[in-house]
Amino acid sequence: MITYIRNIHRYIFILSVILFSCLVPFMTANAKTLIQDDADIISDNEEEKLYNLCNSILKEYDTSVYIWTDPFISGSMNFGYKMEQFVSKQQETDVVFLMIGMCPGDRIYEIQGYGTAQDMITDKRCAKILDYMHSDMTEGKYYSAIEKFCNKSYEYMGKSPKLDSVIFSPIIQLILCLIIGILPIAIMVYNSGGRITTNSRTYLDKNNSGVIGRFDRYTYTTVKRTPKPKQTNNSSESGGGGTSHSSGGGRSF
Amino acid sequence: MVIQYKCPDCGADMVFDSKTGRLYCDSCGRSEVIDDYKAGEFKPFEEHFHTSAFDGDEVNQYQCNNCGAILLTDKDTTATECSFCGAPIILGDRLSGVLAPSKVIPFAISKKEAETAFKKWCRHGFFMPKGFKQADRIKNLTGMYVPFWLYDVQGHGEVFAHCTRIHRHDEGDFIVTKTHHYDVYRKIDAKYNNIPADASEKMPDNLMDKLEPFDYSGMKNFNTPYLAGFISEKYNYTDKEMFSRIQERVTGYMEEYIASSITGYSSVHTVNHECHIMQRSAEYVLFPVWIVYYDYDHSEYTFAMNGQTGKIAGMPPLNKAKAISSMAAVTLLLFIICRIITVLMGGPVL
Repeated sequence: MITYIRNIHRYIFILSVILFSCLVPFMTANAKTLIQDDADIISDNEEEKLYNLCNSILKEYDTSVYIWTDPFISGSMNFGYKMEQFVSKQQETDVVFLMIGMCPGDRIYEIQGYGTAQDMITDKRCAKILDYMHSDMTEGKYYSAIEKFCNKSYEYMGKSPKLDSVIFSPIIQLILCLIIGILPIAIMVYNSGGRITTNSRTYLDKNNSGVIGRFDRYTYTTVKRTPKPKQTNNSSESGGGGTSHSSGGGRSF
Repeated sequence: MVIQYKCPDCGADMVFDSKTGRLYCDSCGRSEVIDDYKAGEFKPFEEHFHTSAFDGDEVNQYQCNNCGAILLTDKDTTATECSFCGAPIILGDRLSGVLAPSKVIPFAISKKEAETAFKKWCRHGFFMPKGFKQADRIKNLTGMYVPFWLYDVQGHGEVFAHCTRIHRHDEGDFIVTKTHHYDVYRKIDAKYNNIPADASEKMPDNLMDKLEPFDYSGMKNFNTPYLAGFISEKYNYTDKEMFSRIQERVTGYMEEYIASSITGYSSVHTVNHECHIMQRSAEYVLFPVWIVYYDYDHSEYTFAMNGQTGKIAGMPPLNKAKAISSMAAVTLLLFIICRIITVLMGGPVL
């Protein structure tokens, strides 16, 4: 019994190590940064820098970032499906994924968002990032383009898509506030010299006025059919029972 | 013909009292009911013009019954006061024949009440300069009967319109929009009574329009004692000359009436419309107006107050600094609120 009490600090230490090792997987939630440069378009040094950038997204938003370059994937292939397969192999839920297909003559790059990233990096935002990267991609500045992808992804992960509306732009808000600020005061100043308070009913002899002739004749009816707008949850469902994700639609370069 | 109302007791000049609606003697306090006075029967209107050596304007020559001084009056004046002894004078010959008003709304607000009301109005002017708000530079406050024409008007309006009713419903993956088209016709017959139009060329129309409405229940048959102690003028424009203003005004009223009769449609497109405005009658009336002349910052400002209801019109000077700072404050406040909402939604501060 005395030996047991003496060694109690050892037991506590062992117990702590076991508990910690059990908790670590839950704490990191399997999120990871994966840069697979099969097409070899970025240097090791650049890859290192990109890792750091991606890790900031990982740490801040507990979301994985995958960057996959492939020398054979082309725009004419079902590259979206290939990206889904790539993600499903990793068995992770919250992923933002950039794929660059370097097949000569038919190069393509595409962004997809899964889980939380699907909500935050919507179709529209994916397309925005693709457009933002486009000039660098066409000029062969792949590192710069991927860096832009990382920075924009980080920015969008911390900002609700609702805030993309121009109404949240400080300049637009300032202009609107200026109009709303000027209008009532301009009306007050204009009315400071007195207002006309009579109207069309003030002098009307109601007892001797009225509609003395009228008709409402139906002539014809026109019918227009328009397709219902799709659900605006900013995500697209992949076909063939794939995982739900957002997508920018891909860009050739 | 000069009319002056003398107190039967003390012989002093009597003036109209807005509080009691009677003729009142300031000297002995006697008051007289105006209805007891027979409405003036004057000679047909005839003007004799003399050229004044003082200002070159056309003036008429009348003599004050009190002091015998020659009264120099504007050609439009029908009631004034002797510039020498201050006696209220009514020029009866300018209120006879075609120039005889049929009705009058007597002053219900006294000079003192008008001054108090004006000062109060100035104090409440949010964008008026501080010095102006004190209202201590009233140069002159004149009670004036302004000539108006009161029109009774008949309006006929016809409109043809193309209207639609839109119904939407879902059918599978489609939204079906059915637009039913209608030819719509309305014929309106409307009567408008007692629409006023000021007939004095000195009074700005927009200022007089803002004094409306007058309460016609206080309107009396015209009698000269109502003018005692006030300035009064005769009309410069006949009812026929003024009618174009009324036509324009009533056309707007008719268009509103027609529009209000076409209801229940999603859209209304007027194909053709016609409005005919006809004058049924016009009465020559005098309405009470207090004219306030106010000196401020080397400029003279003119205000008009409805002598019956106290409504004030006239553009006061603007405290530009206050107006601009208020605009800036409201804008800034709204902008801060907008940014707080943006930040709460996860957006950046700026």
